Amino acid sequence: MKDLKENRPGPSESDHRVNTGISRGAEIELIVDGQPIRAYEGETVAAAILATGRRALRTTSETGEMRGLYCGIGICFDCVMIIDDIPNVRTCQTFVENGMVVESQKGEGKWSVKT
Amino acid sequence: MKSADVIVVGGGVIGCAITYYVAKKGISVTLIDKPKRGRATSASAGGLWPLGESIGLGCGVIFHRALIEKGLIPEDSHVPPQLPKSFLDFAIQSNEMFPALANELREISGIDCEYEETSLLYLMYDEGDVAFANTLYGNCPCGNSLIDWLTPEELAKAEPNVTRKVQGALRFNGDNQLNPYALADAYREAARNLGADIITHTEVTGIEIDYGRVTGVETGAGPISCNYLVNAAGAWAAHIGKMAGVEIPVYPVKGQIVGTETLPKVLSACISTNDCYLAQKNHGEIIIGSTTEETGFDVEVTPSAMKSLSAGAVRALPFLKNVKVKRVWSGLRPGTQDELPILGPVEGTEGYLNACGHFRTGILTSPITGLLISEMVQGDSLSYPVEPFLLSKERLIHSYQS
Amino acid sequence: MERKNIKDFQDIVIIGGGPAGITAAIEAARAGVQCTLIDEAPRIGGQVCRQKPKNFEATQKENSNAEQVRGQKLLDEFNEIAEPVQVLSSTSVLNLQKNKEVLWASDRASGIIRAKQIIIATGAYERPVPFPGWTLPGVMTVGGAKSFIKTMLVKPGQRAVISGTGPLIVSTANRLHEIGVEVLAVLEAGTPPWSSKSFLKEWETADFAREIADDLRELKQNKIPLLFNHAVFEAHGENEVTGITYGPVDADEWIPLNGQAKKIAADFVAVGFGFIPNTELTQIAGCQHDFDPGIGWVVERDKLMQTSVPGILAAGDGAGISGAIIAEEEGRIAGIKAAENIQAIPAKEAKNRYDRPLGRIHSFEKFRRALNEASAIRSGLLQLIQSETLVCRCEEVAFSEVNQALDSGVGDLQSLKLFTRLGMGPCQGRNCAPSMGMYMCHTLNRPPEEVGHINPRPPIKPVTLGALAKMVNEKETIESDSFDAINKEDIL
Repeated sequence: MKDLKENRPGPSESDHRVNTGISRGAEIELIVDGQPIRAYEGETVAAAILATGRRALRTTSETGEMRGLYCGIGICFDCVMIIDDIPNVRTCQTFVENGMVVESQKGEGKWSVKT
Repeated sequence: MKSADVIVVGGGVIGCAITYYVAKKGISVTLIDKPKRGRATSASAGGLWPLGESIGLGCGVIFHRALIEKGLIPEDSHVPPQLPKSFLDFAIQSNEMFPALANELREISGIDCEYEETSLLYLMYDEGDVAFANTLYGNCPCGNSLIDWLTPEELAKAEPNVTRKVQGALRFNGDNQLNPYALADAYREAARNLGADIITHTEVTGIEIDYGRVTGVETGAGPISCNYLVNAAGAWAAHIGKMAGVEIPVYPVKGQIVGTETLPKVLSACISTNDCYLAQKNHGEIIIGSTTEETGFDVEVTPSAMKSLSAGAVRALPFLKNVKVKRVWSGLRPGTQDELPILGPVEGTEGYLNACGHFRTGILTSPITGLLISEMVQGDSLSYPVEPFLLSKERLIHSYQS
Repeated sequence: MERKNIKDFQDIVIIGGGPAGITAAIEAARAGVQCTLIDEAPRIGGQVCRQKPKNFEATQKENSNAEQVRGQKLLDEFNEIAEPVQVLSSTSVLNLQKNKEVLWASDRASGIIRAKQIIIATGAYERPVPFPGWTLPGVMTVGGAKSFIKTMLVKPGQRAVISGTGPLIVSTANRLHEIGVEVLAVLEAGTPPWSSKSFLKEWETADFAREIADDLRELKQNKIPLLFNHAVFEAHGENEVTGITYGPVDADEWIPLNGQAKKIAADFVAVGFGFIPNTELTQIAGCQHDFDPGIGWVVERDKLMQTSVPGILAAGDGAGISGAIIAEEEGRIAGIKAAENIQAIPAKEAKNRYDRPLGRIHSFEKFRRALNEASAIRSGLLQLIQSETLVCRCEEVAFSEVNQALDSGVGDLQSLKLFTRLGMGPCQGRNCAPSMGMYMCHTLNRPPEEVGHINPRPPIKPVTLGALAKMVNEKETIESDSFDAINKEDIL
């Protein structure tokens, strides 16, 4: 991974993407738990986060254990996070958008209610 | 042959309540239940709204609006019909039993029915709603001592998540909520702990009558003899009544209901609007009800109901727009033409007791119903006069005329 | 963002855009009928032919394997013939109403399409097998892992172990290796016939046997050990997987032989013990289902893909696990039969059209049966579950709670749900009911018909109140960027 580390500032320093033989969509930025990370149009939120090397995405409400990407096809609801203030959003089914704000979900998650 | 002093047919909230109150008097009682899809207890929001229900809030006002939209009643009739004072008093007396009952059931059964003092808010969206609220405020059969008129500012302070596009709200104090499933479970398990026999997954197939007196029932698990038979079969009560030769004007009235994903506490009160009602339950789910449909025993959920209830919910609490629906389901209310329950004995069939036709208020009136039936079989004086709810000839004739 | 109207009345509605759904749409289009294809993904293809995002482009010629070639061929055929098909991608089906009304929903809106015929091609998902540590981040299903790396080209870990049964575990190991993940071992619980030279020789003309042979050869070239009668016993780690315990299982029932277990450092585990058909819609539609001991509940069909409910057909892995190649043929037959049912083509012409796919299915039947028998789940794996293992991931129900329920007389899944909340979460029991149903059958010695299943209830897929509130009809235009499954360039 050393070669990919260079010239990448901040938390998106390590990149677990495969970079040979593929050109991705436009480079954009997500805010994940307050930190900017790099992403490419067409990626899912889960992919963009796993590309930083992070795999625990939320904690559960009863036992508080960590959960991550499990089924990858949208049926298990383990990879949910709070995206743009909406909890329980499946990151494996949600595509990145520039400026999207993603937060780790604890238990049922926090709704920021706007009227 | 098995025997019991009292047999209760139907394991919904009414049957469970009766079994509990009868067992509490030390009388031998057997509950026979065949779970059916569409049981109303499972499709209730658990609102205890004696005032609201009596003056037409909850499902009443939603149904009333639907009738206006279909052109079945004139547009300016913005006041849904009110139920008689005798029902309001009955409902209030029942409601007052809950705080003590909840504790009692928790002690005996170990189950918490999640009783909560919430109050009920009626949201006024437009001038028509304000006019309706004015009538309620001025002419409530119980006076307006239990009603507060909230300005939009007061409402926003009390319920910050409710839409700001309102003219105000009426708060009905004393209208509360609980968890209807937990209530039925608590009654049943408490009854069991008091010695009641609970037979589940068993159908009553016939009723034995000798010389005008009920002597027992036939069931899928064999015959059981008894002195009293209580018909608490909800939407299926007419079917059970027929087995005893008793004609009962109870028919299924479908109500569809939408439940959300679990949310943090976002509502303090229960909400009633012209489009829907909303109640946030103890574990965080918001229940959105409900339709009023006469479509027989059909329990299909329909897109049109999902649309109208969802739209109504989003209008009342705009942030719900992004909240996910966990499930949509329906229940069959035991409907009666005059919207009053049918209680007590019938002429000509001794030992037979009605406890059916509770329509929208079975959860609310379950304690008083259970208590009255237990007093009838014990021969005690009644805690509330049963006359308004007897199956009289006039009520029968009236229901056929309408 | 484009504005568009969704047609409300259709001859045929196809649910699911995998191989079966795609071929059904091709045949429906060929028959000239009004047809809608509804798919949850942003681009059609299903799990097997999953396409990369639109904005991803290969900068050098990809080293395509047989599966990719087949997938591309299918998409080419679709793009050539199925232009008139109304494709609703990023769209779920929430419920099938009476009278063949399909209730659909996307992010922003919902609606109803009234169909004359419905083809359910909802595919399968991976059989969940609980084991200690299976909820840790870093544990994935093999199909999920494969689809994730193929489309996103992101490494889900550095040192991987694959455990399960069937050819998919081998191909997934190769795909992981290809993107630079170190694959420590492939643990196959069975001793499958597909790994024997004589078996592959017998089937060498069949394309999928060739794919298996290619994958096995590639695995060998990649120097990835393939251990038969082995499985992962436990995943270790505090907040994510840092190690695993694995070991041999007995050949008959796959009972873990704990005495011979070993612990190694690994940070990624992909697990896959075969597939379970998505039967939610066929169940909601009231179709008859049978219990297949190797698979689970499967919708009953005639050989022309018709279920017991007239006008409702089912094709592909959602109706029985046969893999993508057979799914393609089943989809064709379903599309042709549905068109015949509404008199879009005469019976004789229909027969001409479906005879070839029927013949192909027939010729692979023995192979599929052998494969399914070899990868049928064995009950010994249930012995991996510890009392504190969460068997219901959503509601966090521990195995001990299930046993308590069973001790107090619970004898069927629906009652277990009420007793423990197992299956009440958002996955609707997909991840707990199969293993706990099997466990109940074994422990209580009851037939699957009595243990039953967790009844699916609408909406079977997540939908927001906002989308339901915005239920449109075809006169209402909706703003959408989600119905662009097919690139215009793809069609041209």
